[in-house]
Amino acid sequence: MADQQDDDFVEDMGEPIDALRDLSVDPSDGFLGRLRNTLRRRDLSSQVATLSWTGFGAVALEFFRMIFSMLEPPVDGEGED
Amino acid sequence: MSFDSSLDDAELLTRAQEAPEGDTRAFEELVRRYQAKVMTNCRYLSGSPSDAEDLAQEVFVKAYFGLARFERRSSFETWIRRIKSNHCINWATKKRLKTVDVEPTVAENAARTDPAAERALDREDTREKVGAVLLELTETLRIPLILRDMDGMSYEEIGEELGIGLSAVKMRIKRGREEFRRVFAEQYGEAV
Repeated sequence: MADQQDDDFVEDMGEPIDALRDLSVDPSDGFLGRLRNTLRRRDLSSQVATLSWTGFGAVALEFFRMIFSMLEPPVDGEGED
Repeated sequence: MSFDSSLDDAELLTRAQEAPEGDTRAFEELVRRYQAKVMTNCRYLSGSPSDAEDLAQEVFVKAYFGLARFERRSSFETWIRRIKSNHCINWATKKRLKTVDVEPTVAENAARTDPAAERALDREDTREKVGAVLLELTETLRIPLILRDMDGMSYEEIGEELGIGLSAVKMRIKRGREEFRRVFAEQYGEAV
């Protein structure tokens, strides 16, 4: 009820300020160039980060494979005959 | 190097999303189209002209790295508007938490103390006057006013963005418009 009254109260919000739609601020000349550099830099960092994790994953995988291969019993066991 | 500027936003967006890694040409064309709007909004939403360009750049960086996840349920314009509002409002909130007192605008201080600056302000065109008055408003009134009258967002969207109710949104916009007109008339002796 109170909300309804509030809504009614602010039903007339006055005319929009049209001048705000025309407001425009251009960025400086080098804006696009700086943005391009930032994108490339962050792209590169994310690739390096991905590569680091992939590299770390590959090393870890190889390490565990090595451990498991050491623990596995020999396939062609000696002295079976 | 400019991309085909005859393409519409949707086509450019498709090309930007499908572009091989490192090829930013389609995205840059979208940036060219919206940079002034984003820059303007960042300047007045944040209330900090000196930080506006950095904020605008961050908005586009976020958009670029979010391209792959953008599901195109809205237009690029709506999407970038949402990113921009979120980013600038968060920035303003964090800044407010750091600095308690509101800085008066440089233009106003200069005008009050220096007659030459006052005359210079008189020579400014309407856009600059509008911008200066906008920066006079408190953040509570300025942000909803910009989102409504500059960005054309609905009351519901504004409420959602600011985390306030519909009546609060309407009240702030009403007060913002009144305050804007009052300050403008007071400073420049004319109506807007």
